[in-house]
Amino acid sequence: MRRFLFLGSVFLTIFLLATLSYAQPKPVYGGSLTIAQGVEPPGLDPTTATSAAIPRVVYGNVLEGLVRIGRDGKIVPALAGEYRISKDGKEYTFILKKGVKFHDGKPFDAEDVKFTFERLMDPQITIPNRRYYQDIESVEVADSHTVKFKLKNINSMFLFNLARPDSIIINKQTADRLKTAPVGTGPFKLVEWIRGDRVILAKFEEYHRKGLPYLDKVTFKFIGDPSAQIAGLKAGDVDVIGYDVSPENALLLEKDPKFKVLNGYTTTEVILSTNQTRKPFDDVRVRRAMAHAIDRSALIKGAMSGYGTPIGSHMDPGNPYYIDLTSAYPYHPEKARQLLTEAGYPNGFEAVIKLPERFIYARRTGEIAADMLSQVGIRLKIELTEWGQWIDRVFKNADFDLTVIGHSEPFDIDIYANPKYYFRYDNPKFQETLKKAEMEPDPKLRRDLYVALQKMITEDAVNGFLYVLPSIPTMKKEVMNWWKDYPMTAQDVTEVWIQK
Amino acid sequence: MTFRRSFRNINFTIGFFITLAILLTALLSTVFTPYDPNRMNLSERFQAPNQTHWLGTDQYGRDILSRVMKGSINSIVVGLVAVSIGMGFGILFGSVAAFNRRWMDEVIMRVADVLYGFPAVLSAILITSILGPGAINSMIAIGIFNIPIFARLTRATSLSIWERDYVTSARAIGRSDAGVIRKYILPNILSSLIVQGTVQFAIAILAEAGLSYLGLGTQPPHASWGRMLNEAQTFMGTSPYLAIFPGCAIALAVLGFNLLGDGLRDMLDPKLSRWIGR
Repeated sequence: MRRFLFLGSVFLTIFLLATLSYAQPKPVYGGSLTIAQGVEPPGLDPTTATSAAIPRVVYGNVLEGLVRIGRDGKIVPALAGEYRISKDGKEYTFILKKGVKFHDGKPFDAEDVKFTFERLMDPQITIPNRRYYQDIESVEVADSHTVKFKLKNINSMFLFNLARPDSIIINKQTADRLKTAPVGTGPFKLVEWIRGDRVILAKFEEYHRKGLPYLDKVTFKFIGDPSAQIAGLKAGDVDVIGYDVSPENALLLEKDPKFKVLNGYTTTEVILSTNQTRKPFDDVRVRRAMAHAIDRSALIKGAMSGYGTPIGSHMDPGNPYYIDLTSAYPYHPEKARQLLTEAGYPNGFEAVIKLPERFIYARRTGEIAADMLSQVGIRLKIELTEWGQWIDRVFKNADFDLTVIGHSEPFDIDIYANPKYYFRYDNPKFQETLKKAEMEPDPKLRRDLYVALQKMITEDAVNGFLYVLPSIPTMKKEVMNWWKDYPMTAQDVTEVWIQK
Repeated sequence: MTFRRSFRNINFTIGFFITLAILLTALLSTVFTPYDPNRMNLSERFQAPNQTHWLGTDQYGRDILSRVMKGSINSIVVGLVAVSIGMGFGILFGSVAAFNRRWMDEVIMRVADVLYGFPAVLSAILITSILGPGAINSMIAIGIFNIPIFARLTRATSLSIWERDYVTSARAIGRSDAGVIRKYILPNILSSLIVQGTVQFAIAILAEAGLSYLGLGTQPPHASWGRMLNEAQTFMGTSPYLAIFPGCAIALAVLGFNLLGDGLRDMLDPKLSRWIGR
């Protein structure tokens, strides 16, 4: 028996060692990585524009915040080594890391933090997501490496907001260059941005996380056409396609031993956005009828070859407050027709759905949704809309009946509290509850409030809640340590290395 | 020149039969397609060509044969309307320019030159982005860029005819200007207009496919060859037949109309007639 135990433990040890060494091959330094990205950022400043293409290049690579979101979706320290929250929840103290340098050689200290947040609160500068900072009362420099944030009231989202790309730390001397040649504290510094083609980054030798990064050079190449991206990957010009791999191509590349396809989640909720102010969509019965008319699993199969996770409200399953509401409106065309009849549309009605031409997922989802809705009598005329026009007409001026789009910001249920947001949902009860949730210090009660919020918009069937976009980053087999899930809008390559 | 004799021209013969086949398919598709071309059937996606779906099914399980058939009527209608717009206004402006040799000629021809200077598809994109996407707007757009082509042709061919004695005598006995144009000018330039019309028809089909490919032409779910090509693009690796059939349809249609135009020119243009006099 003893011998058996001994042998057993030997085997176990060998087995464990073997799996450990297999699971964690030793990272290799050096090499250059080329990442294909579908959309070129309009500028490189993530604070003054909301395009997701910006953080996908710079966030975590060139620019960093006080805290960041780790691979598991949790908040981890970044430029702040540690932080303390006062008992009343209104004071945040950040102890900054020492020995951190900006790419221009300037040492990072508390003044930079003060400058960054005062800029974000400066009414003279257009900051699209100013709501993240509206509860800050003051930013005080306690000593060269300690910063105190005083809040007007408790804001449970405050720390999370500091982990967003909007909250990256900059210094005063280089702030005006942020849009074209950002200078940050990240593991890579900007070498060149060749407009219309690529952004080139090089390793920052004095990066503050010891031993990182592994790569010498990172290139973001902007290739709009998905087929050209795939061709680039196959030809070896591209090492990674981080976003926008179409599911059918992922399936194809998965079979090829030269490539690997990771299958994770993103925070992009794809919804059938509904203009609440337009008839007949102002009637909740019509919106509920639409929810009953859409078969999510068939839609995900048809539009995304089965990739993608169904949702029943505006929250991604990676969020700690997520609850599954997908069974609130089961697929039931008969019930949909009945609801339409109750609402006074026994023969259905006609409407227009504007689909952003650029996004394949949105086009396909919209086409299938239109087909499903036509079966209960809602006849949709599809209009493919060029992206600039979509932004202008649909997003800015709410000139639409229906559209399909993915909302990529994490934790963005608060958009439903803004009655001016493009789908024009105005529910005072929701707005009040959200305020309460954001000010609730007790995690359990806060969770209850966020659950109530999710239920509220599902109850009102505000938009057609469809699915969360999959992240299917596709790369050469040699690329190691790429993020499988995207809990934050970014393509952080700090820990990525290339196997020789 | 009899109808039978014209089939001695090989270009005309091939073009004629291809065009005829496409026209018949287009007509047929208005009353019959094997399946509803727009109805999705998500349980039958990506079927390779087989006995029930002769050309296979697309990413939404729609029958490709039905969609290619429906796409032909779309192309023919776009071509017809666009060429009619171009010919109608082109002949009008061209005739006016040839008749009034003074300032009107200058104005019309300079405007035509400017329009002519734009690449055809570019101006169509410009026009559809102003009018908004859609099949009707793309017809208008393609029609508009056809106008200067017919205007220039009409003016150039009718100028010399205005100098002819029979036109002068017709005017002398008091025929109205419009009457002269209708009775003497147009019949004389008709053959070149028809030849140009056939060639423009092919270009219009190609332009419509291009616009739909870019999302500016026919809107989904309606079948259009260009749109089908666009949608097939990301499936090239897995289901190439999605692109092959609409692609062949476009190539065939363009080839057919071009050959027909070539053949007609050989037959109708006396300067080029190598065989007519034999």
